[in-house]
Amino acid sequence: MSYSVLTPTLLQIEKPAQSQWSKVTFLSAAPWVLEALDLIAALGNLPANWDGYGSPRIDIRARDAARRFVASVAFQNLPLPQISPVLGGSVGLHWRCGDRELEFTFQPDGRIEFLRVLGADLDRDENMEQGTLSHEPQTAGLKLLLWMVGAR
Amino acid sequence: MSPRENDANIADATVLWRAVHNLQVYRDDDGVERAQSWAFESRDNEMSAWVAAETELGKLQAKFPESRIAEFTVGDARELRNIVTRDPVGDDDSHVVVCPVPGKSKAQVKKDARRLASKARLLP
Repeated sequence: MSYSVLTPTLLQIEKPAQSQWSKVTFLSAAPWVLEALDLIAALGNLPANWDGYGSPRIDIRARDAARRFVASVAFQNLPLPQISPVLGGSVGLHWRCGDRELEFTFQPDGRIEFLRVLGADLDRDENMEQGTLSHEPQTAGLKLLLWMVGAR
Repeated sequence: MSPRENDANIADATVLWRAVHNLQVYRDDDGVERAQSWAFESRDNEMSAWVAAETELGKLQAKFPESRIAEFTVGDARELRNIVTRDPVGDDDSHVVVCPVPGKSKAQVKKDARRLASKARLLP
């Protein structure tokens, strides 16, 4: 799979040089994006102790970070991620593509942690990698997603 | 808090139940419902579970109305270098905690949560 299949389609307008009054030719989002944004927003409705284990409400900073991330990777060829509340007020996004998986955890303090899984044999430690997206997290996250969909 | 010690009196074959919030359950490509790895994490490295033979499913479901119940064995948890020990809460003696062995890295804890999620079976 090449990078070209992941061309952003969230916002495509005519080139500015044409005319500032040119009408927008089309404005479209990948089908999954709006649903994902709504699902992340809905996590804000969960009460304190939503899990029964004393977790706080899902923090607005975690929700905002997850929504920004989703908007930054709004590609047609990605599936809708599984969106979950996470203990501590965090938000989790889980993508799966064939035998590759990615989990992103958006913490209230701004950290974005990831778990990358390759293959079904979870007993092999090298099949899993855990880390934190510290530098330019959206770019780093995009690279992980490209890995997941098989782009080289 | 002093480190927890593994309770050797709890056999590996002992079945444990853990409540998993509905939003931490997904349907895999094969159609099977599975729990997310986040459902097997805890803030204090002490993950609550209950000895199935010492409690009632309905009782646990009533305590966690927005959740499903995931089932795994003590052996599953121990294979992933966890300690399982009793932790009675009030009059509930069936409560146990699953804790990583001392010194286990945060990365390994996360990976093992994913592994335990794959071993666990969600009850209907």
